[in-house]
Amino acid sequence: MDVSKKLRGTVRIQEAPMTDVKVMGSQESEIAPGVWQHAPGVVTTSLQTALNWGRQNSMWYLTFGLACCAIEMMATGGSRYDFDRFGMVPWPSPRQADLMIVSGTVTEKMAPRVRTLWEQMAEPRYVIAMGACATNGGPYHQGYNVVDGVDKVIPVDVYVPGCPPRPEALLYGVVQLQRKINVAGKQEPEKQKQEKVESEAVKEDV
Amino acid sequence: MSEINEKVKGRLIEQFPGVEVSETEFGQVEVKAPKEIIADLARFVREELDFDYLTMVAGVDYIEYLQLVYHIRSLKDYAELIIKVDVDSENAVVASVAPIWTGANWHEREAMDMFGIQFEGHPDPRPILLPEDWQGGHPLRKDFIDKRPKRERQFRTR
Repeated sequence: MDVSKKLRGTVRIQEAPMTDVKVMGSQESEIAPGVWQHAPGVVTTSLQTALNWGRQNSMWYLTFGLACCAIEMMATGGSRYDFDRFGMVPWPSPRQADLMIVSGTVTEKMAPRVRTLWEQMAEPRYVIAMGACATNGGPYHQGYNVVDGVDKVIPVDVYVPGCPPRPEALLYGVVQLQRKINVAGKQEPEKQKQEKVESEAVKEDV
Repeated sequence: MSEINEKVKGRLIEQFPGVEVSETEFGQVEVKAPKEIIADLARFVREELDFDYLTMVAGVDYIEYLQLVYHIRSLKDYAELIIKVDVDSENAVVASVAPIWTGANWHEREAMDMFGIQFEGHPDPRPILLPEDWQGGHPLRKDFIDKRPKRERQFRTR
């Protein structure tokens, strides 16, 4: 049977009832409406979309428990809130980890170790600063040995506020990170472009 | 319990005539010893009186002087012993008990960081909680001043 002849007959296909749809690729199948009429059995996408899809759905996180936030992180990884729904697996080695959840106070003694572990992670790597301490020092902001924010040491993608944040908050932070990964390498939205142009204009004025 | 305490007190007074021995309200034997005999006292307590488990080593700042407090348990006799040693805050050097109880290693390193007490004969005298290049003093002393520049809290409105 000549498939190409059938592909051209779009009018006839639209009139065909859905009950005639059979398994794609079989010799006797009727051509279904929708995407299949152009390319039966084939899904096309951009490489960037496929990469983003893979990255955002298997973020293995480095278990970086430094203080009480780590307890909430464990609760989120446990069966009740279940990080595994997002394909997230706690991983004790930086070499295979994609995401570092810095949960707790970073001291001056710990800061070089945080930096080293971040450098050992393979790219693309993401960082979530969980809780007030990792965000800006939190209640220990004036401490003699406390780094006020892990972003003084490593770049941070998502900040999750709270002291400590509840598991829902951490999950929301993860979803935000997934959205961020999803738009990576794609065209900028028109609104952001406009804002950028405006801010540059302001700079020129100054 | 009290029989064991009496025995321990008797042996300590017999061996070290200079020390003050008493008993706390919680049934612990308390010894106040000069810092020169701490190594001999620790070895005697460990080997002769079977106090084999060092629970903790703590430092206290009484402004005029520093004090080291050792809590030691005997797992065989269920007895508890407290040794208190006064240390001069200017010249704070004490013999280490880490060769006698291995568990004293990290506790003494912490006292070294926080109070600046030097332990002679310590097997690994590196800072444990403070950074390696720390020059800012000893944080748990009463005269400690944080020399880092004061940072104002930054607020951001939404």
